[in-house]
Amino acid sequence: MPLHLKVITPLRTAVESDALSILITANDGQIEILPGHTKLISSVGNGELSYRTADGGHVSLFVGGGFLQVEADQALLVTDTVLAADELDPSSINAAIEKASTRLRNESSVLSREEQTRLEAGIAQQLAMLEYKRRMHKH
Amino acid sequence: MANLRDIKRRIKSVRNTSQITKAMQMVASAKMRRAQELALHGRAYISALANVLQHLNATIEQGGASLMQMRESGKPLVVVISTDKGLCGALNANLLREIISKAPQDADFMCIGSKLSSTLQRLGRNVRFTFSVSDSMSDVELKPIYESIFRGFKEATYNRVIVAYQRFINVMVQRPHLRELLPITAEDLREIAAMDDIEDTQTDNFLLEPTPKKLLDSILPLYASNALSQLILEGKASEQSARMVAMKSATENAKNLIGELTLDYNKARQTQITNELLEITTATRAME
Repeated sequence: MPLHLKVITPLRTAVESDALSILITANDGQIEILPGHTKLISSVGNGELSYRTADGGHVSLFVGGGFLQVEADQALLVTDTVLAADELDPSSINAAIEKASTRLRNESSVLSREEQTRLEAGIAQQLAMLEYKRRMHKH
Repeated sequence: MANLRDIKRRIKSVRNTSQITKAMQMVASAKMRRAQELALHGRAYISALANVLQHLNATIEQGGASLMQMRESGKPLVVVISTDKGLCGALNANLLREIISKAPQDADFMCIGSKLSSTLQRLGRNVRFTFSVSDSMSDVELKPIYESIFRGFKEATYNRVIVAYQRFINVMVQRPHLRELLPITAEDLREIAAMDDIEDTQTDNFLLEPTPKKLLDSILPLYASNALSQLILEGKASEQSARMVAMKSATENAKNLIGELTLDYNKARQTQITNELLEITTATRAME
């Protein structure tokens, strides 16, 4: 029996599909989920989510952090950001990184601690997007 | 007869009003569709989060996390989600009635949407904050709201945070509702998780990655802030629906009124003509 994968964001249900295997980037490295996996709750880092569908297809998406729950072959991924490779535009991502790092450099004395953490997290996510985009190009 | 001109003037002004209400109705219905979509998708997201959190909580079995602790000291904070603009029927009045009957008397109030802020102040309630959130709900607008709530709770100024909002049922029905936001309790989680069709098996003993504490520390604030923004979304969807319905009935009323006034106008005109004819015939008679 295949896994049932559901990816939920605040705006939409991004993915609802059967999957033979799921590969996801957790905080400490990649995890592969196969049918019959033990019950698991894991936080998910910035990186790739890929899964194989029953008809032999292979889908790859970028996920920007969140939580994964696996239970009785139901995989539920709750996340803020899900993007396909062609939705990522390197030039606008670079511009966003540039903007955030300029703010960090020039306004570090005015920014609150939380604001700094938020900007840094944003940069980390955008760098991960670029990395993902680069890898997709190679394939 | 001067009456004729008066009636004509009234018809014109009612027609102008009806054009405005008609336009507002169309704007509200376009906004409503978007707000409704957001609110319904947001429900799926928040119940998925609640589902994960519920399982996490069952596995960990320790009320250590600060957002889940019951407290003795401090007083309640009531977050009131009303609208910024009027013309949306009895939406705010109904919410106010619910707040007066159910919210604790000694509570501090935070108003999101300015409509009820002044009313609550006039009633002698302690309104500490008033915020305004636009339809786009940007992070810049939401951040100070989250911060004052969570800081107040963490520093034990507040022992409970209750949100009063208009629950969106459908376009015709919005129900005023008070919901406990903090502390997060297992019952709340179960209730919210059950809103969506995600299968629930009520199990524990999950494998946790990376560590239970880290997971809980990152998921709890995410859940709490999303739970609040979800309620704001519900409020927005209710506001737009209520406004659309109110404007629709206003347009219809105006139409009826124009009908009645036109009838009066025609009658008055007829009377005037009859009078003039009478005068002419009497005059000719008198000359014969």
